[in-house]
Amino acid sequence: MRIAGKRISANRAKAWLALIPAVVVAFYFIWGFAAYTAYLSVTKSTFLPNHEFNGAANYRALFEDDRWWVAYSNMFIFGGLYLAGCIGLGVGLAILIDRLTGKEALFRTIYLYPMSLSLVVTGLAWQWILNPTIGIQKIVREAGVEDFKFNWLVSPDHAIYTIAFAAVWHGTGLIMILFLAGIKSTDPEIWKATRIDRIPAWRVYVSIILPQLRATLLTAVMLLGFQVVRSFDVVVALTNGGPGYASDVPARYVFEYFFQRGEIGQGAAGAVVMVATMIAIVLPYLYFEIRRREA
Amino acid sequence: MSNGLNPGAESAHDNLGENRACLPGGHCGGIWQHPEEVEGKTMKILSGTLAAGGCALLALSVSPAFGDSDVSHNWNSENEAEAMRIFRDKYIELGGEWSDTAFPDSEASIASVKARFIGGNPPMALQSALGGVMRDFAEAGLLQNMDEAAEAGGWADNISDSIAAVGRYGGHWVAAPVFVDVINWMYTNNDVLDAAGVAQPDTWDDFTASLPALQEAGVVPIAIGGDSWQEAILFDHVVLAVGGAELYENLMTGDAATVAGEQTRRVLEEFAGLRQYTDEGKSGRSWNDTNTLMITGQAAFFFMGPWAAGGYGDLGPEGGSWSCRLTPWDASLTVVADGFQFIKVTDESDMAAQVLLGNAVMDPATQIAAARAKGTLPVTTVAMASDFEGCPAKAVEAMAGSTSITHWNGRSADVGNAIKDTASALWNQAIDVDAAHQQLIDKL
Amino acid sequence: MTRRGLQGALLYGALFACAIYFLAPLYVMIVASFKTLAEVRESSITALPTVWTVEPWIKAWSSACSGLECNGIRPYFLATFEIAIPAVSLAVAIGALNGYAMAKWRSRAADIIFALILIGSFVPLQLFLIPLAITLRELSIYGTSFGLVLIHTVYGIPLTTMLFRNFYVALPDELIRAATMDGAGFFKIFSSIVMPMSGPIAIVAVILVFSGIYNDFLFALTFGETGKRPIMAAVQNLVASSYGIKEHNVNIAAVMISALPTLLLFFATGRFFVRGLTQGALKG
Repeated sequence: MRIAGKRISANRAKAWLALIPAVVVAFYFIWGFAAYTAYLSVTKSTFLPNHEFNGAANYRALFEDDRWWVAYSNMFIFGGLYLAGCIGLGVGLAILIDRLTGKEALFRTIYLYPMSLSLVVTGLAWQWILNPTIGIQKIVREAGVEDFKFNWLVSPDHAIYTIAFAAVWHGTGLIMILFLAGIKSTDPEIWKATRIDRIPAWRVYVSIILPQLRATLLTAVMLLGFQVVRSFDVVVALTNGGPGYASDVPARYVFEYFFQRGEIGQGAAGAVVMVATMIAIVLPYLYFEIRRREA
Repeated sequence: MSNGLNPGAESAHDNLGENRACLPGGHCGGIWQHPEEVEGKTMKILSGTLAAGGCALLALSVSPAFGDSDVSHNWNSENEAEAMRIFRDKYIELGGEWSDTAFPDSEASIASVKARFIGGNPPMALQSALGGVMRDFAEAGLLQNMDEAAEAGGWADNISDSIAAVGRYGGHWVAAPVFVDVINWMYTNNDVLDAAGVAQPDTWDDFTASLPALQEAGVVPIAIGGDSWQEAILFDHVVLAVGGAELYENLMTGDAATVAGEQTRRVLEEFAGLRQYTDEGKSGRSWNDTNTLMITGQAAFFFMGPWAAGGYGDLGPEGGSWSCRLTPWDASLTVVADGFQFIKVTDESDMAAQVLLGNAVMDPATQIAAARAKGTLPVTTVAMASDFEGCPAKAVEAMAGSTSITHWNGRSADVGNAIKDTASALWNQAIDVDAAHQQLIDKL
Repeated sequence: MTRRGLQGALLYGALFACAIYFLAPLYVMIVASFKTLAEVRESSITALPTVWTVEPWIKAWSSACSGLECNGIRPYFLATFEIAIPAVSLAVAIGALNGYAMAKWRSRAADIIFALILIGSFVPLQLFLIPLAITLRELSIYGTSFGLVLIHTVYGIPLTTMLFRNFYVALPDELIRAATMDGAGFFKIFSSIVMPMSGPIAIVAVILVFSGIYNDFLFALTFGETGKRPIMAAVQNLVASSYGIKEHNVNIAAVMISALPTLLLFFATGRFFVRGLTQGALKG
């Protein structure tokens, strides 16, 4: 028994050895860096980091900047639409494919392939289609509907929706696959039972199967949320924040302030507000889900 | 800003040098940096260097760990790249080894250099407008002292004192000014105007009156792209229309009464009013693509710098199917010096490369050839008016008789950003004229 | 029509309608990349080329200009693989080991590290840019391939760790316990029992991490080596700064070429991918 105990503690030590990279990543490259950037947000850093204390001046400048508020609220508009779009469409497609008897692989591939493309490619591709002077608007007009209008890409009020539209195209497939797997893993006996009771198929999905897939939903929300905070590429490639700054997002705003404008202090303040927002949203959800599962 | 002086007008066609000598000194006084003014900043440089030294203690030193002898630039249009090729060939001829990184616009190349400063691996030189950014870099002690090379290479021999001052900071050479870009060009597709039965507008009222007719004719009256700097260039022309050089200068220097005044408000109103005469595709469009609209006869007017002229070759000579005119409704020129900033490097071979680059771009014959390729004016006084044709020749001529004012791109980053931000926000309907006016008052 | 027939028609109708949304961009890009410049400007984006040409692809690959360099996107391709291959190997290997340590040698501290990494993957990458630049400078690898290998390894680890941990949690603890009783140590168990069972999740990890690195834009843009920028930054730059009359067909071909590796990888490994994903990522 003592020997086994010793061996276990030796193995524990080795486990810690194996965890060194994770520790370095967690404490240095993630949270250490985050702390350093938080520190920069209270310095007078311009295009080079410096260490002169600046109090809350960068935050004040940030909160007085209209551009920031546009970018910040865009993150929620985009995030909300993106999550709703990907999950809504993904679940819908998963159910449709589940109903299929053949050709399942074909449709699955069609819906999933965009995920393999980069968001830069996604943005550039949709840019051509959504551009009113060469894309959908032009095609429909040439087909005879001459006053057809679809100029969201260049409309300050709607540009952010086109970003969600392109991003949903990119992200739906993964969600569909996750839910499809979830649906397939539910007990087939359910179908026999409900058939006897003559319950319509859609009710089986909505009332019986989907409620069992809370864990899948958690995974989906996490994977998509991860994309929302990193929504830099698709914005740069599709609208570059335009027209003006109507479709700007915090990720791009911060990048611009770091490097183009050389206002590292204010950019860092923006980054801190971003991460604080994310933590405020993710942490309670994560906590709640973990508690639920442990119960 | 001085005005009224008009020396050199008679010799305008004879010798560009004479014009050049009077241009920045006479007309651009207070805009190009005066040497005396610059001396006073030595203290600032010193303190900047000290601050940088302090940073080093905190493992944040800005001195590069190693160099990479490349040039960051945004000369990516066909004629600009040709100019860069001419400089490159001279540099190689002098014995250098060339590498460069091109960016879509100046903002991107400056952003890259800023990131590389933090990473301790900046390029050896940055091509950009010589203005606020250069002063910021110099103040932080990030630029190389090129005095020795300039002395040995005789950089100052063939340029006017005021241009030489542009390349110096604190009395030391940190940059090589190579071109004087006149920014306020109006390109016109004459065929489009003819087809719509519209005459060349000479006044602002003519111009605005022509726009509905052009729109009626099914073309885009005003070609513009989606970058804030493009919007700000259009804005320049409106400022000149409302209040000429005086208003422009007062706005740029943040004269409180002017910024808050009625004229500024009118500028904003007129500017916002132009929006309806542009096309839907403008958002996100680069200037090159926008130029294509002009070349292919889809648009009538385009307000852009000298770099756009090179694209019109397919339409035949200037004055035929197309023309370039300096803002017709005002005699002022908005100008900015373009050149190469030398970044502080420690590697011996990089420093040698900088000397070669400096000598290559300051070589009068090379500079003239490159200016011809780019369609702009060299700083060298050796250039003759006869060296130029088409648009640059017009600029040479105009310089003699007009007031030159420094374009926002040659001023501090704060001024440039204030103009770009406000113009862009108003243009893209993020704010209304009232809010835009307030924003200008706050920022300038 | 019978009720069942109607349902079938509706089902297929809905699936086809969605398929159009997903296929349209690919279709538009493919046809545009085979058109001549004149045609790409004149014709509708949905029209098939009247004359098919591979010229745009050749030009995009080997002679499109960005600045003074007219080498197409070929050099950036090789540069990207130079970065991606070592980074993927490292991130997957380290992630597997970490995931194993966390899943099978659970301790409160390991759980906390996992939570920190998990929440950390929600931290916007922008927070890392400035300290990363400073770190790379201190290591004298800013603007080199090494720098990007380090970055991608480091930020690939959270994902690989999560994938492997979730996969290993599902392996029966008895396996480990029995092996321990037989005298096998931590690394021995990993190499002889755990690793051989990791095939499906390893494939998923390789695909996801490779795609992530290959498709990365932010780090490529900020830390890419001069003249050897990773592909996405290079393509975006090419599209934004190509000069003269914009050659949309060449630009689109360049975008298509840049998309091909991950697209082909997906088509080649799709079956594994779906299977691996459903076995691994789901069981959190």
